[in-house]
Amino acid sequence: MAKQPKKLPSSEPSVFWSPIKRGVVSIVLVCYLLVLFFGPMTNPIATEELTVPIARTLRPAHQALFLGHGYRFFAPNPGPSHRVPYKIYNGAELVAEGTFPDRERNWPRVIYHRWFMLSETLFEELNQTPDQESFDESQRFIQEQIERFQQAGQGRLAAPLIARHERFERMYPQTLKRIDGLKQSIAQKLMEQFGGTRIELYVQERGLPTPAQIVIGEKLNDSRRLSEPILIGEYRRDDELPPPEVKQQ
Amino acid sequence: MNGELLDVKTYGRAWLDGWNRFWFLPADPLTLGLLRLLAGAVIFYTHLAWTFELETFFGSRAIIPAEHRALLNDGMSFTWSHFDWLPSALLWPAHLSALVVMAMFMVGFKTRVTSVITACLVISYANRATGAQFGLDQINAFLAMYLAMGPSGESFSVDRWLKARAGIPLASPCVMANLSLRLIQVHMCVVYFFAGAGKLLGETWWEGTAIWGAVANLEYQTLDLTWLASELWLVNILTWSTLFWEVSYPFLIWPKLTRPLWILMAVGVHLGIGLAMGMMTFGLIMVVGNFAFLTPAFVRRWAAPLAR
Repeated sequence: MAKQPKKLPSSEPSVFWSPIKRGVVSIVLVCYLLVLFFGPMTNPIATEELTVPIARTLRPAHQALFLGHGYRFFAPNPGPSHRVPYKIYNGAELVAEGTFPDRERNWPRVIYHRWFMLSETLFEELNQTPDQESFDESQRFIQEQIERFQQAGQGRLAAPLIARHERFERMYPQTLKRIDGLKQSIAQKLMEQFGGTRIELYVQERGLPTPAQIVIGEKLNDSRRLSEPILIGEYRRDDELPPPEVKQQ
Repeated sequence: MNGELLDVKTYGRAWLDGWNRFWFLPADPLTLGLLRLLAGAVIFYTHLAWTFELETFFGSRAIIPAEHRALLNDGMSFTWSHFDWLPSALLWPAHLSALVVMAMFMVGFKTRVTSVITACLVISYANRATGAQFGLDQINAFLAMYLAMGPSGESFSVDRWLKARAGIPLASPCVMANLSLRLIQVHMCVVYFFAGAGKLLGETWWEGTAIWGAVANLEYQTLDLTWLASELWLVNILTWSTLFWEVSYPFLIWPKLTRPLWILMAVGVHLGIGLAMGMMTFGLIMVVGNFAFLTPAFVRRWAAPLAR
């Protein structure tokens, strides 16, 4: 910053702001800094008692200004990566087989990274979403806790659990719809690019090698570190057939 | 009692003076101009690259459904994007126009207007690509936003060149230049604090092997650093120094004594990630964000011929 006198003059010269202007802007600044701070403070971890309501209140500002990110780069640990293998058929004939992200097809590098993020997003969505049975079980568990607190006259302890139960109940069908929509859309786009009338989508994890494995001569692309591909959906072309019932994996 | 009250009053007054000095001292817009030029270049390239997959990610049948964002947010979504209402026929004209505006922002032409439009465009593209966006878009967005607030076109710009030709003197220091720079600086501290604090939850960061996890990931790799497998002491040093640097950044970037070292660390870490892990755009934009801590005197000494 430019060297300036230690204390601001309260009025002229005009390059300095008046105390009233500074006061008004200070209030706006404090509000903005709170919005800024509560972005990563409420994402990805938040508490039902305090930070979830704060995050909900600030959501319009976070989303409209593209704030509210967690900034947890490579945290808590750098982990394995995930890819999306696919097989595209025309009738019974295999017309294309590939994986994204793909260094050859996805170019320039920043575009490769977009496809990589898409495969990670898809994996995370699938990985973090329980199947219906597990979801019902966890909801039952929360419900039991709520009832226990209510019977003991501990309404205050039950309140955040009720809020969580209701939020999960509301969000779960939306999450399933979101994942199905994403898989369906990826499938249609790949068939649009490669042709074909039917596609099988998979996800696959590539584990990290230990330093010792590399020292004894293994390579990063050693196929033994690739997990078995898991089928996450099978789709037909929109203009061929109506969308099939999609099974949640 | 009176003495204590006096102390509180004195302390309050000193705190207020500090607040005013921090946010409201007029600053030379030189550093801001440099940031506009550099961030503008990264922003332009980021969106130029979308050209290769425009239909895939932004077309009417884009790979990520438009309703995906609303479903992410409990039905209530303020993640606006002009692509949601843009007719298919206008996709390419709109994209090419956006690139022109971003190029104008980069070179500092009609900056007052193009900076605001660029900030809106960066957010709009990133919102539409939810699910494929990453740190690059987040840093691009806030830099563009703060650069639109201040007089970022007053140096290193076509606007400045045109004014010089017309005999208009250089812009004098102003409060908005300081406010913009301060917001970038504070935002960078928030980014690093949470990036570092998040790592403190990870055992590989504590045991000193996290850097191995990053360089041994084939999907990221662009530079073969697997020789580090035989030099684990170096992996430990790199991991712990990165962790310490990130966690301490919000505190040690401010003192004059430590600031140069922390900026140099930022350049090293981010360009290293860029070269080794194929994220050069992200590495560059983080380095640009760190340049908000360069003093106008430093910028003048090293880049004056370009500035005016």
